[in-house]
Amino acid sequence: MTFLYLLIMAALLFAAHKATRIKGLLKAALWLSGTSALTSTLIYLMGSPGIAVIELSVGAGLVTVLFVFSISIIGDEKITGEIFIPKWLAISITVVAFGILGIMTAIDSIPQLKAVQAELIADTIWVDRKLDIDIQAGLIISGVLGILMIVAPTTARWMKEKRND
Amino acid sequence: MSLETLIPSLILFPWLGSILVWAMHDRNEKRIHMTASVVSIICALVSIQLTFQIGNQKIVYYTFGAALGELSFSADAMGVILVLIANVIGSLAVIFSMDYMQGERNLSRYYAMILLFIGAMSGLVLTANIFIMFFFWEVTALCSYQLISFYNDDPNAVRGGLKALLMTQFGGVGLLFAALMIFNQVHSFDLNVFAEAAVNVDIEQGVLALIGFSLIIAAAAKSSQFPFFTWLPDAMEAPTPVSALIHAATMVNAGIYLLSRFFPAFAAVPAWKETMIWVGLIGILLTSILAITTYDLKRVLAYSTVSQLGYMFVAIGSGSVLAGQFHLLSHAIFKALLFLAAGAVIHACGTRDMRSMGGFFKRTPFVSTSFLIGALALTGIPILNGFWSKELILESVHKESSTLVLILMLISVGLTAIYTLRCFKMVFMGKNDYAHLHPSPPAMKTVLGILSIGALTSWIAISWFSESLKQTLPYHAIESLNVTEMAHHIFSDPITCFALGITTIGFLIAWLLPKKEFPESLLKLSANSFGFDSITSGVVQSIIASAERIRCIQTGILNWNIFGLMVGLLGVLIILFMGR
Amino acid sequence: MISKIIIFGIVGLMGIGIYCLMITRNLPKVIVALQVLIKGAMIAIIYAGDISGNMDLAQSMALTIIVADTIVAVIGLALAIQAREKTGSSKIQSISNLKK
Repeated sequence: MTFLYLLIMAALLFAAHKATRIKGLLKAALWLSGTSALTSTLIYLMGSPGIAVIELSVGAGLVTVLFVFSISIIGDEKITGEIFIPKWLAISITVVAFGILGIMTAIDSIPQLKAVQAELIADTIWVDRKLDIDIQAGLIISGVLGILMIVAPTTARWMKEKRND
Repeated sequence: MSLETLIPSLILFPWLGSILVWAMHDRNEKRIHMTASVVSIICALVSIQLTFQIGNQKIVYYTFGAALGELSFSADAMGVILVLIANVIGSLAVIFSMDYMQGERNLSRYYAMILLFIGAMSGLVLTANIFIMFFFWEVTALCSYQLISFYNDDPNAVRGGLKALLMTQFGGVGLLFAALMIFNQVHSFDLNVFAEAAVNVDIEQGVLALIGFSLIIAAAAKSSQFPFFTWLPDAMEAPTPVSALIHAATMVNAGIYLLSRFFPAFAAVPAWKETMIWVGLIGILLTSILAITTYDLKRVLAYSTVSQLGYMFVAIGSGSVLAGQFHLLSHAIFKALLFLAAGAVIHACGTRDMRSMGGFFKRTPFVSTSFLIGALALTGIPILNGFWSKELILESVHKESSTLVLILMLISVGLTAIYTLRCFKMVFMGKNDYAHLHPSPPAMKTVLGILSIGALTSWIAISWFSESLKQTLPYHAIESLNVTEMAHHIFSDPITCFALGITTIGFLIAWLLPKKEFPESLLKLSANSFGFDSITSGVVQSIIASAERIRCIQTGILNWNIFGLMVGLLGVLIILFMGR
Repeated sequence: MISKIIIFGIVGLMGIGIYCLMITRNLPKVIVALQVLIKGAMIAIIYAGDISGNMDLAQSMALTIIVADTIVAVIGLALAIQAREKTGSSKIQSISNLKK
């Protein structure tokens, strides 16, 4: 079991690294969907199959589709110009900060993972966490507007061409 | 009407009127004037109705759900008297404005702000919840700022308004701090709960002193006392009825009200009363001298307002809340009268510079007489209301404070006489050829007449005044007085003779003062308020300069923002790591 | 041991995300970095729910995180597209230029 966790975690970190550092937006999007899929597997192993399914479908599915669609509009631009923070500084501050965080957590006796299987309990979501649901509704509405904004330029162009024909 | 309907109507009715006037958008000038005066007159009548509720010791609670909690209001004499002043003088100022502001632009904004102010002032003094008090306190500051900067194409007016807003914010911060400390100590914003806890010594002495001194800062900033006194003279860019209402009769009294109300809670705090006396006294002396050396009619009155508010500080510091409150009433009436009479003069000749005035006594006898009544009340000439209240203050100082304070107070009485007579002489005596003087319209005259009668007779109310204060404020140790007792008190005290003698000497000095102008250097110094203005602008300049210097860290670049975030995280982690 | 691996993973994901946010100047790439960062946060929430026995609460919070994180991606991409349309560049700075 430990080995499985280790393997997934290593793959997850590798995918995340690739997603952020690889040249080319399309490749980055694909690596990101890989990250998402691995996260979903991990969550499944940790005992939350419901969340894992949603993460897989939304994170690896919907977001990737949107990414690919957007990249097809934006194109892959190579950014030139001023670099604001030197790489060595960024790496060192990240490593130091998260290193301290990791060490601090690791020194303490961490409670063991129980990995109890839990279902998505409807009562928790619909009754106890009603506020969450309301917030999610609001978020989803803004998400729909965002999607409209993504497709707006393409649609406009398409309509114009159609009119010209 | 019962208390439950009177209190909200006093706050909400002017606010509704304010919205109504605001919505009128300057379309029909006459209708705006009429609406505003009708609303304010109704408010004044309702406030008179409220005076019959004094002695009804009920505290009214309005429950507003879990978020706001309970808003509590109470109608004790101290609050009701200020409500009365705010609403009655407010309505008089609005009526006066009907003539004074005729033909001005943005009238809807003007009246909306005045009505908003009247409602907020009523709320400020009626509430028994210090947090709600803070809310109304800030609303009055907003109205004051808006009305000072009413002529917003005049850079001086905008500057004066901003200065008033910024300096009174010290008061707001002080009050907020006190409110939070009170909540921290007694777990309630209710003033009565706090007063009880303070009187029963349930609160630690050090904390109590901290609250007391932050309240002094709040009051000094709001009432324009030393060292915050420089905003009031600059606030004189406001239209004159606004100066009369907000900067003489009501808003500046909010600080006095605050200190009077909390007096029993802090009376035992060491040096609290002494601080109040000296804050008042320094303000009185500085501004009396400033009033002698300025040539702007409204600034003279503003300086005298500061010094009269200083008298009230000294009165409360000497332990006589009654004298302070009584002087507050007298001062509200005669200073409103002085301001409005000055407004009529300014309306007639179109300037505020006293050097180009003169000879008004023959041209406008009615206005001049009412100004004279106000001026005599200000100097404390017998049987006018200012005399009684000022002598009560001097008597309490004589009884409770040191001789040095008494001597300085007597000197300030002389200075008051000097600047008042000098001002009267320059404006109303002598000769001047005005080709054209605007006549004073009837509404102005009516208002001045009512206020003159008030200045002549308001002292008769002392027995009602002291009795109701004594009844409703059991902790304040107020003795009830009737007219004969008061007269006996005052005339049996030798200080009265001293004060009258010094006033006479002051009159003589002012009369014999040569007509030639003061030297340029002195005028410059007084325009700068003896250097206090430079301190203020220095503080402002240094804040602006430091903000300019650190603005380079706001790059607006995401990478740097994240970098800053990481530095912060690192700091937190290091602190956590060290604390293990 | 498994706990340590998970903690290490959370810290690693967040570190990678933050590092990318610190050096990237490309708006779609910023969104990728945010996604990675949020994945770390989500695993942390699930982990915390598991060890404290509040799995229901953790799950419903994770659900909110998924929704919010998707919406962030959508809005970010929409902004990137609009910035590209208006200014011809998908630099992060070009969003600031949108208001002009």
